[in-house]
Amino acid sequence: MASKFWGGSDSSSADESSENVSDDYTSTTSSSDDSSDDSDRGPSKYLQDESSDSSEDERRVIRSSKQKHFEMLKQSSRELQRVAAGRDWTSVIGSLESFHKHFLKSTQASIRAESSSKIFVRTLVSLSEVLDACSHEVDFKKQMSTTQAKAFNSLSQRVKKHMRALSPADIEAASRSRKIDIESESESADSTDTIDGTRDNPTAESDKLMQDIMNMPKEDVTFDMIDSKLKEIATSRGKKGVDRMRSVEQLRYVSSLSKCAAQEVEILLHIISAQFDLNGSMSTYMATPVWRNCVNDVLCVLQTLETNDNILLVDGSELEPRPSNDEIMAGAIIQLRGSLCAFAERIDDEYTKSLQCLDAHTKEYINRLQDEGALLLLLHQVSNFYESRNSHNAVSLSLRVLERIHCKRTASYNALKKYTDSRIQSSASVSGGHICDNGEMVEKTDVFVTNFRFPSCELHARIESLSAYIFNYGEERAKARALLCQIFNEALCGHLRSAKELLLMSHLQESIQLMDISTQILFNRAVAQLGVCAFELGEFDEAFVFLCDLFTSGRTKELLAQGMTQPRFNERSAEQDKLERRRQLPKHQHINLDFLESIFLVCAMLLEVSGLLNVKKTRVYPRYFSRIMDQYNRQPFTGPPDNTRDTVMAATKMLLVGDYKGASGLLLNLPAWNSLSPSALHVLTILDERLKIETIRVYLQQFADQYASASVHILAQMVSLTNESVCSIISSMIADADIPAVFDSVTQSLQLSRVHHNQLQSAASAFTEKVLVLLDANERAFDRHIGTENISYYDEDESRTRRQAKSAPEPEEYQTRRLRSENARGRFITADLHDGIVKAKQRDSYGHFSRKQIHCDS
Amino acid sequence: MATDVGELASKLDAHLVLPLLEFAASRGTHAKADVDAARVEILKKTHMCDYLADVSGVSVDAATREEVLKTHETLRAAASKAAEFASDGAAIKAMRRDKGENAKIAEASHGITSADVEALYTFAKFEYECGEYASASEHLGAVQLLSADSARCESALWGKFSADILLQNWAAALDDMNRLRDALETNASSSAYVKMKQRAWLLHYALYVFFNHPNGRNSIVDVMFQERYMQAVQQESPHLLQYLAVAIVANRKRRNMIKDLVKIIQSDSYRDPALEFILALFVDYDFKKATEKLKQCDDMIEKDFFLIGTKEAFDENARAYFIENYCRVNKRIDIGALASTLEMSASAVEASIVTLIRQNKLNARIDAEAGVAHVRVETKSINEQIIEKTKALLSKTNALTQAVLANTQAQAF
Repeated sequence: MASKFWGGSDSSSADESSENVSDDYTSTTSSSDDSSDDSDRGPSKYLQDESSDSSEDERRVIRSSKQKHFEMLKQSSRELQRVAAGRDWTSVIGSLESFHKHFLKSTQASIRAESSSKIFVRTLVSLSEVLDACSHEVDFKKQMSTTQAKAFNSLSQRVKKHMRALSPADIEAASRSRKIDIESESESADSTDTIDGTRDNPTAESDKLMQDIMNMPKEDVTFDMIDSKLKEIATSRGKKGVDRMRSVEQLRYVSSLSKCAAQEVEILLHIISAQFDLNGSMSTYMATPVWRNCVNDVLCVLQTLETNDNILLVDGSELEPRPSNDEIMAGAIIQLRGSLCAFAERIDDEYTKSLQCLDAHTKEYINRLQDEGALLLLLHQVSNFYESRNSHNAVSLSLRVLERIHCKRTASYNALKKYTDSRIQSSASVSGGHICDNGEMVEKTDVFVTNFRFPSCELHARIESLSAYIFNYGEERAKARALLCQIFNEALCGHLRSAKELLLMSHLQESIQLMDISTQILFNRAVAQLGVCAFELGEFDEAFVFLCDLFTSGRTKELLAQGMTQPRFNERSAEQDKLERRRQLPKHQHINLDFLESIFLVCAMLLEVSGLLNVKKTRVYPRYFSRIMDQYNRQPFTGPPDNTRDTVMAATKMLLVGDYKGASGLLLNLPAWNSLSPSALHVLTILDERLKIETIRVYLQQFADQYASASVHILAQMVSLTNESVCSIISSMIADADIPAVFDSVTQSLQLSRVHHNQLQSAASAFTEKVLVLLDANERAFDRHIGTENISYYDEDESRTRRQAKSAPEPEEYQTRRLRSENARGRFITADLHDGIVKAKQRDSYGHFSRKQIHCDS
Repeated sequence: MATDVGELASKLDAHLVLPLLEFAASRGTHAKADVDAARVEILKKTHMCDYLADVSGVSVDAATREEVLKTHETLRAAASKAAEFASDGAAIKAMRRDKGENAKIAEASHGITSADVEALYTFAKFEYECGEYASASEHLGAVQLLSADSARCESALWGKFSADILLQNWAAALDDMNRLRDALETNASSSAYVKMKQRAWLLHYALYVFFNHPNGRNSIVDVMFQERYMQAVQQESPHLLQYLAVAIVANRKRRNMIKDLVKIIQSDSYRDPALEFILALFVDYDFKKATEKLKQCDDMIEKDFFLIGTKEAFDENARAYFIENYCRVNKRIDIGALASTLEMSASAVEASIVTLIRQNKLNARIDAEAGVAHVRVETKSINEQIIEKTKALLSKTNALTQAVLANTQAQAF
C-alpha cells in the first residue's frame, strides 16, 4: 500500500508500478495546471475559481465539475487547517465534517481519487498532529471552557476514527512528506498547493533513496539517510499492522550501516526497545534468541558509551536540543533518551519469566540456565557503569545480581563462571559465521568479548561486597533484601552462627510483616535455609524452631513461593492467581520441600517424643507433633509408610516400644536425605546418636511402672551404646526426676520404685490438673482482653482482607513474633526463666487462641 | 594461659596489665624473658621511666626522663589552682549532684573556670601515665564533679576507676564501677554496638574488683547476668564465662544460678575446663569426666591472677556439688572410693554426706562400718503432690480477680 507515496516500493508488483505511472502522470498534469494558477493566486483565489468556472464552456464544465470538487476539497482542507490553527474546536468539527463530505464526493467523482485521498490523508494527519501537540501542552485542558473541551474530545475521536479507516502506511508516508513540507514551508508562501503533488516528486525521490539504502552499497549511504530511515521505522512503532519482527530486522541492517558511534547507539537503543516489543503480553516470555540478542545489544551500547564520552543517556529529564547531523558526525555532545538500568532490569525480568514458564525437566530449561552467566555479566557491567557515575541505579542492579547469586553454592557459581568465560573465549576465537545452535549469539558475542570479563572474585566475597555496597547506598527495602540474601547464603554455606547473628542484629523479624510480599518470601526462604543449616550441623532444636512456623501454617508452598496449594475455602480470583503465579520462584531455586518436611518432622519427633508420654511437663514448643500423631493413630488402617510423614510416624511408634533398630532403619533411610549436601552427611550419625538417647528415655518412661529394676547392660545392647553413655543418660533422668529410680553401681542396674495410686487419688490428681488448666485459660483470656483492647487488627473482616491481599500475613506475624521473643531472650535465657518472657510467649499463643474464640462467637 | 592474658589484655588499660604480668612472672608459668619483654613493651607506652629502667635493666636516657619531669611541672603549674581545690576535702564534700551548680560554686568560691578543669584533667592523665595513681584518682574525681562535658566525665571516670584499682582501693573502685555503669547506660550518643564494646571493657576492668572486693563475687554474678552484660560477654569476650562459672561455684549463695549458667554454656560454643566441669556434672552426670575436669580446673585456677583467691572456696564447693549429685543418682555410695576420686579424706566426704542428709536433701543412711551410704528412693506421696500443685491456686485466683475488678472499674468510669 505504501506504493501510493513511495515511487520505488520494496514490494514492487506489476500493477502497483502501473499505478505509479498514472500517479506520476496526473501529478505532472496537475502541477502544470497549478503552476499556471499559482502566479496570480492570492487571498482572492477563491473568487478566481468561481470566475473561471463561470467563464468555462460546456465541454470544460464537465471537466471542471471534477475540478470543482477537487478545488472544493482543497479549499475545505485549507479552511480546516486555518480553523484548527485558531483552536476553535467547535468550528473545527463543523469544517471537518464538510471536509469529509467533500472528500466523499470527490472520490465518487473518481478521476482524481488518488490526489484527493492524498489530500484527505495529509489533512487528517496534520490535524491529528495539531491535536497531539495541543494535548501535550501543559495546562492546555485547564484553559478550555467546557464546551470547547467537549468539542476537542469528540474531535479527536472523530479524527481517530477516520485515521483508523486509512492504511497505516499512508499515514506514515503523509506524515513524512508533511515534515518535509514544513521545512520547506518558509520558502514558499503558498504551501497548500504543494499538497497536491508538485512536491511529490522531490519527496518521492528522497524517499526512494531512503528506501534504497536497504539495497544500496554501503559506501553510498549518508548519515542523513540513515537518520531519516530510523525516524521512519521509529514512528511506525506500536502501530497496527506493522510487522514487529520486520522492523527489528530493518533496524539491525541499518545499524550495520551506521556512520558514527552516536548513531549506532541510537539505532541500538531502538533495536532493544523493538525487541522488547516483540512479545506483547505479560504472561509470555521473550524468545530465547531474542533475549540473547538483547543482552548483546545492551553490552554493545555499554561499550560504546564507555569509549565515547560525548554520548549521554538520559532518562526522565528533558533532553538538550539535538545538535545538527554534521555536528553529531563530528562528535558533538549528544543526549539520547534511554536507560540501561531499565533495559537490564527488563532483561532480568524476562529471564525470570522464561524460567517460570519453562518446564524444569526439559533440556530447554537447562540450556536456559546457562544464559544466567551472560545475564550476570550484563547486570554486573551495567551496575559498574552506574557505579562509576554515582547513580542510585547501581544499587538496584547490585541487588538484582545479589538476588541471582545468593542461592548458589560455590561449586555451581564457579561452574557458571567457567562456562561463561569459555563461551566468551570460544566466541572470541571463532570469527563470526560459525554454526552452532545459537549462531547469532556467537556472532555477536565477539563484540564485547574483548572488554568484558566475568567478575573474578569468589562467590562469598562477591556477595559480601555487593551487600556492603547496598548497605551503604541503598534504601530500606534494598537493605533488607540484601541482608536476607546474605543470611540465606551464609546459611547455605553452613555458617549458622554468623547467619543467625545477622538476622538477630538486624531486627528484621520485627518489621518484616510490613514489607512487600516478595521480601516476605525472601525472609521465609532465609529462615527455612537457616533451619536446614541448623539441622546439618546437628542443632535439632534450632532447626525445629526455624521451621516450625513454616510448617504449622500448612501453607508452606505459598510461604516459600514454590507452588500453590489448592484453595479450599475462599476461591482465589483469577487476578490473584496470576499474581501468585508471577511470584513463583524458578524451579532451580527451590528448597526441596520434602527435605524440609523431613527435617522438620524428625526434629519435632526428637523433641516431642518423650512429651507424648509425659504430659505434665511444661512445654516450650507447640503441640504440632502430638497433633499429627493423633491423626495418624485415628486412621482405621495404617498401611506400610510411603510418604515422609507416615514414615516418621511409623518410626515414632516403633520408638515408643523401644524398637530402636526399626526406627533408625526408617528414619536414616528417608529418601529426602539425598538432598543433604555431601559435607553434611555426618549429621545422620549425630541423628542416630540422638535417636539412641531418645529411645532409652522413652523406653524407661514408658515401662518404668512395670519393672523393678533394669540392667544397664541390656539397655546398652538394645541401642548399641556403651554402658557409660547409658549410665549418663539414666543419671540425668534420675536427677531431673523423670523416673523414680536410683542407680546401683555394684550391679550396674537401675532400681525402680513404683507407686500405686488408688482410684480416688488419681481422680483427685486429674481434677487438680484440670483446675490448673482452667485457671491458666482464665489468665490468658484476661491477658488478651487487656492486651489487645486497642488493637483493631484482630477484627475479623480486616484480617480476612489481609489474608487475601497478602500471601501469608498471618503465619508471618506469628513467625516474627516468635522470633522476636527468641531475640528478646537473646542467646541466653530461655522462656522458663524470665517472667516477662513467659508472658510474651503466652500472648503469642493467645493471638491464635482468641481468634478461634471470635470465630466461635460469630 | 598466654592466650588468656592476651585476650584479657586486649580489653585492659596498659597499667592494668602490669599486675597480670607480674603475677605470671612470679608463678613461673611463662619464661621470664618473655614476660619481661612484654612488660617493657607496655611500659614504653607509659611515662613510668624509673619502673621501665628497673625492669629492662637499661637506664633510660636522661633526656627522656628530664622531658617527662618537665612536662609534669608545666602541667602541674597549669592545673595548680584546680588541683588545690581538688585536694581541699571540705570543698569537695560541699559538692552536690548537680554539675552546673558545682561549677558555679567552684567558680564563685575558688575562681575555677572550665579551662582550669580541663587543665586539671590533662594533668591527672599525665600523673596516671607516670604512675602517680593516688593523686590522679583524686584529681579525676574532682574533674568528674566539675566538668560539664559528659564525654570528659566519662573518661575521667574510666581513669579514676583504673587508678583506684591500681591503688587497690576496692571500695572506691566498686563505687566507680557502678557510676561508670550508669554513665554508660545513660549516654545517648553512643550506638548499641559501641555500648556493647564498652560493657565488655568494663567487665574486664571490673574483674579486679570482682575478685578482690569482699562482696565482689556476688556482684560479678549480678552484673554478668544482666542481659546487656551477658550479651557483651557472649559477643565480645566469651572467655569471661569461666570467671562467672568459678564465681558461681565458689559462691554457695548463688547455687540457684547454676541452672541458668548451664543454659548459657549450652548455647555457646566456647569451652574451657570450668565450663566443661559444670556440663559434665550438671548435664551429663558423667562423674568420671567431671573428676578429670575438676583436676584441670584446679590447675587453671592456680595459674590465674584473678581466680587464685577463690581457690579454696571453689575446691570445697565443687566437691560438695559433686558429692550431692553423685548421691542423688546412686543407690550405694562407697565413701572411700568417692573420697579417693575426689582426693579428699573419707571423713570429709562422710561429713558432707551427713550435712546433705541433715539438710533433707538426701534420703539416705550411712553404714559407718562398711563405709557405705545407702540411698532410699521415695517419691512424694500423691497427697503431697496435689497439695503442692494447688498451693498457688488461691493466690493466683485472687490476683486475677483483682485485676479483672480493677479493669472493669476503670472501664466503667
